[in-house]
Amino acid sequence: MGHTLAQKIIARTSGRQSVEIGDVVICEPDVFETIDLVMPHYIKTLQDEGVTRFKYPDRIIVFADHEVPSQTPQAAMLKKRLRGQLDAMGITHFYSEGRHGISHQAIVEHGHVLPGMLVTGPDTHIPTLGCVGALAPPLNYEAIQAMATGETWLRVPETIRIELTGKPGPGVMSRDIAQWIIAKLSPERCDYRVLEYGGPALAALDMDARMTLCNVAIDVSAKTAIVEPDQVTLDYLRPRTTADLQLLRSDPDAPYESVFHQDLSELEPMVAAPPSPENVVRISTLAGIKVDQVYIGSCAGGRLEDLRAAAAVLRGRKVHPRVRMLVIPTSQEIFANAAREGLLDAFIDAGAVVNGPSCGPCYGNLAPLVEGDVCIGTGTTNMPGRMGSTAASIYLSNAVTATAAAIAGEIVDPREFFGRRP
Amino acid sequence: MSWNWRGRAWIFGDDIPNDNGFMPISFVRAQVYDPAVLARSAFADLDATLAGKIAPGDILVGGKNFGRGNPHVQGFLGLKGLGVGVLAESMQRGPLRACVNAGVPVLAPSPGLRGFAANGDLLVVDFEKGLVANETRGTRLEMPPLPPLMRDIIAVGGGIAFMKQRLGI
Repeated sequence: MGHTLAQKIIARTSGRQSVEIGDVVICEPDVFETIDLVMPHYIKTLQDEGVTRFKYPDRIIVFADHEVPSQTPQAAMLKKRLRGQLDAMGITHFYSEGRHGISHQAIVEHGHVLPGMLVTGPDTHIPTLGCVGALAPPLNYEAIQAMATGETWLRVPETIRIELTGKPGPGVMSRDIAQWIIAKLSPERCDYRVLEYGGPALAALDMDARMTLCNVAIDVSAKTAIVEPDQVTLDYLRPRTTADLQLLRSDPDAPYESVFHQDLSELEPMVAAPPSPENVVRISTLAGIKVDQVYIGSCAGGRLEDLRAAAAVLRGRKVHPRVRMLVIPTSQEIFANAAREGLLDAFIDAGAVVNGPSCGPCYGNLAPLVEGDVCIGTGTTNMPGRMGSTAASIYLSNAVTATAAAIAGEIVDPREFFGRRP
Repeated sequence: MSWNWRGRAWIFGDDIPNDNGFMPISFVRAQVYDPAVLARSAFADLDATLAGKIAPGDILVGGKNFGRGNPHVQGFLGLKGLGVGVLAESMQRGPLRACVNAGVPVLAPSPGLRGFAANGDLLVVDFEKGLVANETRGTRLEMPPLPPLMRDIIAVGGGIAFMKQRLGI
């Protein structure tokens, strides 16, 4: 019997020849990804406990992302002290404001994450790193301990293989693929399992799409998600790292829990309605719902794929006068590329607000929704209160669907909406 | 920490979220980490009087997906501050892990838990072996115990204490 990619990564990092499903082992991750806002508390907590150093400071990569720039004097003071604290702890990998991006995006762009690595950290959406064939389960607060000891415990998970075939139709984006798979698999089935994407359709899915596929998995309670690395992975990473790249994959006879087949040509634009990300419905059932805010951004949907799609919809059109539209590129690299491609003009001319990269609205601290507000966008989750008031409604969709709602002032099926307009 | 508990049952329904269920998400944004402070606001979105009624040693009986969603630590530190143990029909990976790391004794999943107890029933629980008795009704239930490493973390009081043990300090 062969082994899954997840088993191979856990075996290597736990110093074993092999591990079996269900084993609980202690692993040493290759990289720790963390964020500026939590590090001051983490470092102080460790110091209060008598821990004055991290086991592997050079494995720790810190990003400014949740609140950039600072919106309160408290956050500004945390950030002011942070550089000195990191220096004192020997951490040199710090992507500060202006050199930053949402951590799960920027860490991949900067070539820190390679196929076959084990990466972990505090933020929930770290499974995004599975896009290059790395295993990246989140640890939340436990990351403090993992960074101090250089290790973490993992229960060897089962893997659901998702075999993708076919080509997506018009208006269908990676968000729809991910959203649909959530609906079909259900959180109960995904819980504690790794979703592994493969199949012939993968070759046409670029790194942006792969990040979204992996990112969305956590909100249906999978342990993490991983894309089988291939030529797309190599082409993306080669200019970003000097490391030797090995395409570690599952064995052909790996013990998958199940294999799920999806023909992408069967999909259509999907929307996750309140109150949870797995509440996925066809767009037609929601048509006519008035919206107050449209959001293109987050680690689930502010990449070039999303910005290009939104800009294409907006050109020559205006955001509805009742609607506030926010466009927030996921990283500085994406922001720069969007500027070079002329995408930003389309947003600004249409009456959208463009901000620099941050988690912002999806963290609920920028443009908070108030009671009765309706938002549609590409954020990570629609659980009540995520973007502000618990009495606001959040719909999750792809960038085209969200942008069409910005123009119409209400949720519309973009295929019909653009079908009847020149 | 003792594995053997005797306390009143507090029954919760299915799909109680961590954010704005266990704890208002405002405490996450405000970076509050003191279990005693957090305990006072535990379950405030469900019932603002609940935290004041729950006593240390009481046992929360959750339904399916207890503490679902983003396992921000504040909700679990709130449970720690309340001094409760947890039984749940099911908990997703993240919340279960966060519960263990907060040093809160927990048994999950247990499909047989539904209807086993009512609010205020007196429960006797051996969290190490997975034995649960409802003294009010005179009924018993066996739940699968956690894997040994997860029990080790709870036994020393949570992840920070376990870390110190691993570091030899």
